[in-house]
Amino acid sequence: MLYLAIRHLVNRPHQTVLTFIGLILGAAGYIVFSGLQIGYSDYVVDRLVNVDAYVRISPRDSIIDEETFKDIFFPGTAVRWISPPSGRVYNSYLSNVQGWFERLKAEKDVVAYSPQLIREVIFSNGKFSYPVRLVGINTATQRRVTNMERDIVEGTLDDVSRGDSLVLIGRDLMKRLGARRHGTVNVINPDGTVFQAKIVSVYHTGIKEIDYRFVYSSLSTVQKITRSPGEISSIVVRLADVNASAETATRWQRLSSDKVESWDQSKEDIRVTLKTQGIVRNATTFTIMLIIAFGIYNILNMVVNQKKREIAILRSLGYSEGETIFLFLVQGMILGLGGGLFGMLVGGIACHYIEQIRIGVGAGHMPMSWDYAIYLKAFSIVLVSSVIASFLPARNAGRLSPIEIIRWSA
Amino acid sequence: MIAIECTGLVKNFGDPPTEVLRSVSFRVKKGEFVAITGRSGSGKSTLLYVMSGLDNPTAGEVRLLGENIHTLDKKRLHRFRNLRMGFVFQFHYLIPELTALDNILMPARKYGVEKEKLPRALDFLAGFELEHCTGKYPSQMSGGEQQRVAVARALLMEPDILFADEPTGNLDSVNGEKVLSIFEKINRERRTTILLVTHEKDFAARAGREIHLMDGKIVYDRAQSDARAGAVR
Repeated sequence: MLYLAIRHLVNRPHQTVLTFIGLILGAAGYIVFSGLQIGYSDYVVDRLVNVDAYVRISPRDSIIDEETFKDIFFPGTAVRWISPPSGRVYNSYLSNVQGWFERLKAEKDVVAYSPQLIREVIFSNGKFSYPVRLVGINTATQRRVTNMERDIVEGTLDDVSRGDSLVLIGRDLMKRLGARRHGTVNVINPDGTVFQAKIVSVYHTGIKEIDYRFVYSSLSTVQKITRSPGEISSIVVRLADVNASAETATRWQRLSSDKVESWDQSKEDIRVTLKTQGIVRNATTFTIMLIIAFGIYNILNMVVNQKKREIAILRSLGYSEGETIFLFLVQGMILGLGGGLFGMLVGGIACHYIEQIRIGVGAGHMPMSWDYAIYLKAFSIVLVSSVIASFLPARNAGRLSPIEIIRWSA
Repeated sequence: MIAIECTGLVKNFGDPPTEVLRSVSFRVKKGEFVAITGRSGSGKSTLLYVMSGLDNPTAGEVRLLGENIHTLDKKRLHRFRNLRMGFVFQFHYLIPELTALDNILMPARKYGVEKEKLPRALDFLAGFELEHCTGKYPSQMSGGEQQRVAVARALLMEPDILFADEPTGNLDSVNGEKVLSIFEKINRERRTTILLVTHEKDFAARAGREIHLMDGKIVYDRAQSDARAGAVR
């Protein structure tokens, strides 16, 4: 029957080629679409997660309200405030850093963690001044948590720990300040005190909100400049699995009064965007499957109608219903297998060329995912759609009564 | 040995039922060449299909080579059809995607014995004056050639019984004669039992026996040698 199935396909080249092209385009389209979407999403996640952290532990600001003073002034008595208390207590540093270190050390999913001190300052050079988030880091542990070294375009990460008041600055901010590497800039504290810092390294992530806003220095430098001796305002954590970030953060949050947030919890808008992308991708997958299935169904259904006489004679030659079903099912499978394989090839080539397209932002070229799962999924979609779509006409062919066909033909 | 035994065959169609076969009973010995004749609508094709197991009777029983064809399980029925029966219809029903040789070999492909049967298929092509059609597709052959290919296909597995439903109905007299000669030859040389449905008196006369139907009943069943004497079995 395989022989006859192949002869059927070969002897109706027009239909076969058209169906085949449809399947190839379906698979290739899915690969390009998913490659671009997942590539972009991977790029965004990589930038956000690897420049920042999978999970960030920071002090929680507390809100002052009536509950804050309950049972403090008049224990056991209902108090009616004439002017209810309000306000917010700003906690600028973590109070139990050592406790967190011990907990993180015991967690097997934690790959690395690093302390940070983040303070808002103003960087100025000449007439130019800009608000900046100055981040004190421990270079030895920081490089294990983030991939920020990958974005350093001049100097090294270690340069900032080779002395006092040395900073790693974003290239865009440096240009905006009119400064240059090995030059100095002024760091103005909220209390007005001014320090001088020397630019020893320059980075460029391509994300403007990071490049213009974040400046890195050694932990001791930031503690000294901001008069925060011994203070740690954050612990950044890298986990073994980026997708487990939210779940882990939620679990740790239950154990502490500090604020524990994963990258996707803190960036709700991006999480929603990525989730929407996933939904769009799934909807597209479904649509592609439907189009492929309808195409194959229509063609095979037509073929079954055209081949009724041959089906009758095959049955009279001793071929069973199962073998008749196989005859048409295998045609769908051959088309699906071929279409899936060539679709992967065409999709791969298309992705390769699309990835070369230069764009002025981000990575500099079109982000593209080369995850083998995309190709596997494209192949499976095409094959499964083809088999399902060919099953119905095949089953109809199997159910045909040879004698009815012969009578009808006569 | 009895090749075919029909007992009380009844076949009704439609609702209210129309009786097409009315309690038909007869036996065919192995190696007999039987012509089933009758006017259109007399039930001869229906009898052939019920006898061959392609159609089910409303009542009655058919035994082919001792087997009740309508109670065989599907697997055995398919095997029986493939190995012990051959069919030739009025229309050739060749598979248009296959060459003459591949069409003839089609029954052998079911059990993967096409290589084993290839010499026999080539013999048929030579014997049926079809050598020039070996690599031709049905659309490249004449009606007579197509029908002879269909006969070769029916005979490839060396069936014990050949059922032929007006195989010359679409052929001119020359090609009709060729097909009938083939039937006579295989009946004579291989002792293949042949059931030939025809309304052509000349061809029916060349069969060893004629069963004539009218309105679903056997009007007469006689050996051709008895025909002149008007003997009825």
